[in-house]
Amino acid sequence: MEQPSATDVAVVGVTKRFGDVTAVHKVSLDVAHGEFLTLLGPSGCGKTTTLNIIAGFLRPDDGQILLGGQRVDHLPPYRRDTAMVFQQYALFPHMTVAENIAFGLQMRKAPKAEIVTRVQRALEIVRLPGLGDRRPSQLSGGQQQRVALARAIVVEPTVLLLDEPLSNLDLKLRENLRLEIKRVQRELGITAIYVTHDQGEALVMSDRIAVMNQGVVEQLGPPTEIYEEPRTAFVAEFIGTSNFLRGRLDGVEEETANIVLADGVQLRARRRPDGPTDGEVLVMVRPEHLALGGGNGTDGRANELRALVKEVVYLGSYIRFVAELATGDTVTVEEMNLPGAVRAGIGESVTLRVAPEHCLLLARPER
Amino acid sequence: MTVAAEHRRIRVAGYVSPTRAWLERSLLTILYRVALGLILTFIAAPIVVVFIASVNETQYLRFPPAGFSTRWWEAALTERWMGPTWLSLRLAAVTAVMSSILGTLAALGIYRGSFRGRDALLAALLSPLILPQIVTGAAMLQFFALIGLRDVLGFPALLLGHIVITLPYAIRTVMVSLHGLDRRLEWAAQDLGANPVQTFVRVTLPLIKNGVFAGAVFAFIVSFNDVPISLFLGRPGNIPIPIAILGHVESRFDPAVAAVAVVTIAIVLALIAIAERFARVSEFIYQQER
Repeated sequence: MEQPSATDVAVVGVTKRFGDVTAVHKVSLDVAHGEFLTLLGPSGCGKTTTLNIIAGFLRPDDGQILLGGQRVDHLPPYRRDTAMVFQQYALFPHMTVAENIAFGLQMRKAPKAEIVTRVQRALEIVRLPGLGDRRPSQLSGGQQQRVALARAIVVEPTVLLLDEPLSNLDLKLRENLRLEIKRVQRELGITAIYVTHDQGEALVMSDRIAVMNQGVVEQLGPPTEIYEEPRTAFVAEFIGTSNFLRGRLDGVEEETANIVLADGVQLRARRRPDGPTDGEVLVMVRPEHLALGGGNGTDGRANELRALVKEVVYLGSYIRFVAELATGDTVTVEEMNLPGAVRAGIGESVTLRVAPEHCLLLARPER
Repeated sequence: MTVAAEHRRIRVAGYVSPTRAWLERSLLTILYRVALGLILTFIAAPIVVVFIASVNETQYLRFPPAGFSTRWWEAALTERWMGPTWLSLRLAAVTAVMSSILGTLAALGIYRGSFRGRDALLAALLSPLILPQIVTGAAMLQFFALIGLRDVLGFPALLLGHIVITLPYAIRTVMVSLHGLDRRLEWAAQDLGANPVQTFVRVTLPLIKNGVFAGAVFAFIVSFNDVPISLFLGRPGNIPIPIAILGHVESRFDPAVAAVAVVTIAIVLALIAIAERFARVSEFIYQQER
């Protein structure tokens, strides 16, 4: 990966409380120039609060915000070089599309001729040329969000802030527009912080993802790392589908661990150096790593689990099986729908096979 | 369930012939229309009657009129009546402007603010709606007299009094507008670099302008029609038209008064028509969503 040349945004130990509730607790983030960082988490995890603190709509109780190396947490929003794309678009209804986009430039006292050309260019970038004279109410939701994006990027902010910009749109449009936003961001080389609860969006768009839970950043890393190396059960559960097997740790080698499930079945799992060393644990397995065993290809290393098929869901390109283990844990298995793939019916007893390196040892969360 | 209840339930759900269902529905519709028609007639009829009476031939008001004459209109359009009308127009216009400015500022402060005594302040500003205006008027007169400002009676005192009684309307309509205003629009403006004043002028004000305008129209009409306050705060030669009419009908009751009444009604109706054209004031009366 390219060495981060400059930090555009630094969030340093920011805490925000609303009454007795701590919405954001000691959150620290560095966003490099041109980077696309996503704050991902369920509603109420503090992601939007963090974004609003960066924009200046909220004041942190503790910590600092730096934009381009300068402290800004004492400055009002209009003195910060940020531009936000809101969930509900927040376009000015009494202005035309062009006037909306021109607003930020007018506030920055740009010359009139320059405003005209820059507004035109912004409309072209978001692929809405010729719609400058329309009113926001005459546009579709997707078009309105493009205008909102144009209005934000036209001022060339130090950081572009996006607050769940796609959550009001239907699925098709959402998938379309997420690629579009990513393309614009990459083409302009603009630094962006994106807030979403949609893990799909986060995986597709981000250079790095910060998974937030209850006001804390649980894990910060590139999408592959978040998906493949979740550090906590929360992260594993929130991103993608995960199976969790409850068991007890029974001996730890360097990078592997032996686990005994409740029904006595032995399992070998991969263990990170900072992983748990004893006690009750969880083994995380992704559905695509579980194979419906037919007996062939056994190399003696794979973990084997006996299970009863409870449900079969045909999804076209793959088939999803829901099966129950003897321990009572339910697991989801996803098999590619290839010629010769193993099939099983409801009520059938099957063997599930998974390689130890695809079994990840995690601490059991205290609940 | 008792047998009787069971019996009733079956009766309610029982068969009703289409003819009977149609009759029941039509009867309700007819009743509703008759009631509506009566109410509207009762509201509009006096205005029509006054207009017809104003072209009476006779010395006194009567209906139906005896003969046709324009002489009462000639009498109405003289300085004796047009002087007070002009005063009322100026008074209502200045009241409307002042009341909207102060009302908008008050509404913004109260709606957005979170200071101690906020509710009490709002209640105080809206209290002229609840207090008998005759009491407010008398109190104002005594107040001016007690603090030795008897000299302000006339236009300045009328203006102050009218601002006090019209402010509630301005505050209420602006608050309705603020309630419907998405705060994120102001956030967006600030985020794009607009300072609070620019945000207000470029975003907030254009978006609440219907409320401000509606408040101004209400203030104008309330001021233009006001009797109880004006009764106390006017002075000879400085009397608004409602008081002039009142003073006249105490002694005489000639058709000239009817003509003057028609003029004042026309002014108010014209204003409402213009207001409706530009700012959909009816939405503030009927509280309809846009």
